[in-house]
Amino acid sequence: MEVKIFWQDNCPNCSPAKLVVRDVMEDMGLKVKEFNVNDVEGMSEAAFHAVMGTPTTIVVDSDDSEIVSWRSQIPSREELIDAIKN
Amino acid sequence: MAVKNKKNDVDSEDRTLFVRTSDDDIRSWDKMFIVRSLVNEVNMPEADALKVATEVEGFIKYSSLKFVSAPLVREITNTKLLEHGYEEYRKKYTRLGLPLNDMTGLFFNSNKENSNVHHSSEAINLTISGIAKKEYALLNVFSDDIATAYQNGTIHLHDLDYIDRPYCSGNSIEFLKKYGLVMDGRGNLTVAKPAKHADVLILHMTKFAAALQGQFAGAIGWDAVNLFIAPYLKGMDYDRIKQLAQMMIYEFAQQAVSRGGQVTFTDTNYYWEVPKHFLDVPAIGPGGKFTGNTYSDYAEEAQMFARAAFEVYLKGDAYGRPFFFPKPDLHITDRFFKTDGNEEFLDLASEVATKMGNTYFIFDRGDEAKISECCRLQFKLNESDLLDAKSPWKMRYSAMQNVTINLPRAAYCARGDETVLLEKIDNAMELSAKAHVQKKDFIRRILALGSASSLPILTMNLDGEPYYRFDKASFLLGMLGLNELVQYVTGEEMHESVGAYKFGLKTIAYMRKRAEELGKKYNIHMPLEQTPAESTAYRMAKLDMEHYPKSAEKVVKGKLGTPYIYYTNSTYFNIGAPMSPMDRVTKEGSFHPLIDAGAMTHVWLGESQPEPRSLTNFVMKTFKNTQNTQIAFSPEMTLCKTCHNKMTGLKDKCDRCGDIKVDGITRCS
Ligand SMILES: [Zn+2]
Repeated sequence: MEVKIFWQDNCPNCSPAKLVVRDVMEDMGLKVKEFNVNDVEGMSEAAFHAVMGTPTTIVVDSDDSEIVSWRSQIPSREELIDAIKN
Repeated sequence: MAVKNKKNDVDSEDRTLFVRTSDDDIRSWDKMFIVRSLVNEVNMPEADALKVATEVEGFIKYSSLKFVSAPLVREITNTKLLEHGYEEYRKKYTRLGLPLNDMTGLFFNSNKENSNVHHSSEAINLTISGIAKKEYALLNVFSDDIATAYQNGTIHLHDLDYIDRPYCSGNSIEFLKKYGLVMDGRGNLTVAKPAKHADVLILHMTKFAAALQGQFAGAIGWDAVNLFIAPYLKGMDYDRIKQLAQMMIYEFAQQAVSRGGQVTFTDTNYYWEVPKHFLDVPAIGPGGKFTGNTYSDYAEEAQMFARAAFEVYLKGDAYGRPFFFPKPDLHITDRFFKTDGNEEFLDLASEVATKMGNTYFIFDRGDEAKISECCRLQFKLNESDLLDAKSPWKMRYSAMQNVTINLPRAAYCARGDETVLLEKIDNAMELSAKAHVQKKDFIRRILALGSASSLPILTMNLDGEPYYRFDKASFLLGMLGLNELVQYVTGEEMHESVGAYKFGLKTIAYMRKRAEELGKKYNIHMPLEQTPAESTAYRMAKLDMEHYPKSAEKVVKGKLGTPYIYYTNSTYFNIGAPMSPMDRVTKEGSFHPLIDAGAMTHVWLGESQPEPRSLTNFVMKTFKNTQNTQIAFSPEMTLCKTCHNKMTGLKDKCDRCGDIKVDGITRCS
């Protein structure tokens, strides 16, 4: 399992989202991959996961398939923990 | 070649040699004609020119010719220029055209190259002019590095045979409604006032499209056709409106006289709802006068016209064949689904798609407004364009040129090394950007001649600016064979693994980023676009099999050892990949947000003719669950030439009369 967060500059909700995700993942010992949707890597990863807005947080399995996502919104601690535990 | 020794003639000063000149005259020989033309045409110093001319004279007098033609003198002069190492002069002094034998071929062998061109005397004119213009482009519009990159297949410069025209255009019926019809742009031909009746408006539109086809290389698009015609339909019953829709489609479809005997390449855009950016716009009605209402007041008439048009498409022509032009682009938006009657209308559009294949479904998600021009080209409207919407006759957009990059070639040259690969792509992109700037400068010089230019419709100024809005033009950057690039580098095609698929996405994301940077550097708007030309896929595959056979044979598609080899179009997945239609639409669609100027997915229906309802569901799912920006369905059908029976699927003979004279129809994408 892996968590991806998509962000960009001038996105007011991106920093808070990053903080929540990093915090929860650190507690749970999971890796977070952060993608700036305006660079090549982030742009192509965003296209792959059909990310249309930021911040977007996606939990994927080992096949890179989406398990759960928060699109254009900040996930709450509880939702994140809940999703990952299940 | 037999060389006759005519020494005596050389010495005989009184022998008179005549020259058939290019302006239908016969003059006696005077080598000073050569001297003057070398000085004037290529700026050669007179002394050098005299030396060359004297040698040409010696050569000609040594031969036993009684008449020489101006072209022959020029050929001999060019040989002498080369002998002296004057390669630059030779290049500029060259003559453009075609060998006599090729011309004979044009008269007696029909044109098999372009399926849109039907063999005719007009088509021959088109071919001849195309040859000369293309040669001119490669010699005198583009620099040597770009001409070479074109000729060796690194990049493809589209429509070189129309080098003196911009590529394609989006137009507004509002312009015709407001200003009437000035067919030639100069007002020397009969000029019509703004139409007072719907049928006249439609005729203005079809005639103007034909005239525009003479000034653009590619498609002529019309935005919001059903909405802009609507104010002329007030109070009409449905039968009358359907008659008008039918007239419009037939007028476009049968206008096979516009250019080289071709049908005008037209796209017509339809909206079921009144697009948001037109809701509060004052409507123009009969006589070019504002009706006092806004476009939101004509939703009903606009819908009636849209429905009528799709019913006409469903019926097809007199033999039940689909209309190839004008293409109907149906815009699907969030508001589409909130507008009354959308289900019934979408079912109709889907029925047209499954039975005839005409419908292009264009997905404008969120607040995006787009108009689409050529089969794949779309223009996203930016803020200043949306301001234009308040005066919709200003909504005239264009792409000035289309250049395609040969992606597999970049991979071969990089020998599969990813860093070198990006350098090779960069290099091809930079050449493309330069080619765009050179074309832009060439068109600028033509347009600067104003109404005396060879593009008088584009320079006509009726609303305070020229019809062609030069500064709004886009410069398209297409790509070919992404799938083969990926296959060469990763060993897998894009449908074969997530890694290969992601490598494809990364490559296109890189190109998009670079296109933006290069656009800034060269001061042009250079969006990515999916190349529509199938012939490019064959040309580049063929060139690569010649120059990089060991690499190309690993990935090229088609039958090796035959001329039928090609690369997969643009960012498409292998056409034969075992993918469900939804999987294809989703995965191909994930590239679409990266390709601003237009992308699409073809869903091949083959023999199956799904129920309209299931296509409707497919369209809705595509809109809601994918990033795909455009889809079209391609049914296959066969028509009997003898009894006009129509069968689904591709058949060898008629299942009614048994005749083998049948035409298979499938969309040429
Ligand atoms: Zn038959």
